Amino acid sequence: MKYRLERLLSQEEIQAEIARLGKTISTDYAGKELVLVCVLRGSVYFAVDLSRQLSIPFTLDFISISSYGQESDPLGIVRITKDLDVHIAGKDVLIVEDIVDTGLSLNYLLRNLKTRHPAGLRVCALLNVPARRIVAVPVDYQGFQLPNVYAVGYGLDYHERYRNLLEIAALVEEQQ
Amino acid sequence: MTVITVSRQFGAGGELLARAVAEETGFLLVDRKLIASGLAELGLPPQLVRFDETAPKAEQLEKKRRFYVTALHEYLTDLAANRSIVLLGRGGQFLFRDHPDAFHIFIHAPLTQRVEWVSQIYGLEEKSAVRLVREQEQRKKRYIRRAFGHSWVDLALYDLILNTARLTPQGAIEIALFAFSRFSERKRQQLSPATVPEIPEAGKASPFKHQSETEFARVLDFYNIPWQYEPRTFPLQWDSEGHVTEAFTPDFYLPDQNIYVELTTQRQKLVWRKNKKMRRLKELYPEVNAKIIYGKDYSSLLKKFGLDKNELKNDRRQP
Repeated sequence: MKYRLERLLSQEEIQAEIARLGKTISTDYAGKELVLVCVLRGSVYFAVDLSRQLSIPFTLDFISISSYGQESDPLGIVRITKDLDVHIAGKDVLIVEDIVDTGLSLNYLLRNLKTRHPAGLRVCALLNVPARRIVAVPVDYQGFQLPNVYAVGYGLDYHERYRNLLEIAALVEEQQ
Repeated sequence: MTVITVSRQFGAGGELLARAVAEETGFLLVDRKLIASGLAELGLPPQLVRFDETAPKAEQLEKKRRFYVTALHEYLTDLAANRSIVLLGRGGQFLFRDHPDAFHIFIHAPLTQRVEWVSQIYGLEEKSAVRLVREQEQRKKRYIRRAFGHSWVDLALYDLILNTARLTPQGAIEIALFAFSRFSERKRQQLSPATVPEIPEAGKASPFKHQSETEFARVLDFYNIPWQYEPRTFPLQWDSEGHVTEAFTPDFYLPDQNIYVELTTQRQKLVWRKNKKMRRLKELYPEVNAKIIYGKDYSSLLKKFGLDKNELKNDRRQP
């Protein structure tokens, strides 16, 4: 199967949107104890750029959860492979996601973090693909809404490739 | 669950028999009153709840008939899904004609006998009793004809036909109970261990029809999302006799999300049938949340998890 890439969002469009998100979040979280929770690995690029657009103090932390199909045991169950280093009880948590599509991993993450009693728990996603949703999850801050395409670049990979692209592109199957 | 339907001529003692059978078997007696309040609770407009009593204009008849039968069928199917019932009248012999565990009884008696009983019970003179019996007979016939477009005098509809004048009402009850016990025994024998269908348990290995369904269940298990496999069938079309001619059984139900999910790995061109069923489902059951996961969505899901079989070669970077 051959693929080609079709540009969806340019570097400039992405950065402009992140600046807008940063401004909104800075206003909404003014005076609060904000913890940015970056979901490894794809969200790193977005989390870094977003945090640079914040004009308020915040704590940056990382969390990683296992993904289906990467376990040696195919009947395994999702688990946290790298937990947060900070305690979030009583703090305002903002989960930073590169993309929300099926909602499966985010649903798990929300359930897990809720048990730690944060003061607030919201989601910021650069990309939202509601057409692919399987379980309903809230997206409080959304960068772009994408149609049902497979997106790569700016942290999003296909078999570990394309993460480093500065823009976001659709991976399109080429007709033979 | 089991359904015993009791159809009867007016005044032949069908009510008495239905009540006695319900008492003896412990099944829920479902009569006109219970159904009317059940349909009203479902939000059916009052004039449709009383479809059997009203005389709609001809041009509205077909639309109303279909609506009423659909609602009635859905209500009774739901009811019978959870418990065994004895259904008195309402065209149960049509509604549950193809139900694998339904037993159909018809109760009749000659006119003179029915008139005699009716005049005794209602304290009426013979002339008035004849009139009442005739009126009720007409109403029943009209209801069945209107709702199901079929005559009720069809031997093939019934498993047991009893003449209460010859057997006495008490004798008819005893025979009905005996016949039903034989019917149940026969069913038990048919369901020998080899033929008992496996009941899929949520989260356990289940007899999935497609590899994609097995995989999807594993994904849900992995993310700790409770699911049920094909727990409900939605009737979508009925013929004039009330038989289900088209139905839709979505693959999964996610109780926490309250959503039905249908997986299809067919090519996009071939999914129009499923799309059509989905539209019809939303028309008839607007309260039900359902979505189709198309082949394209599914392959995105696999891609995301790195499970697609395709290897990445010869890509041209041109964003």
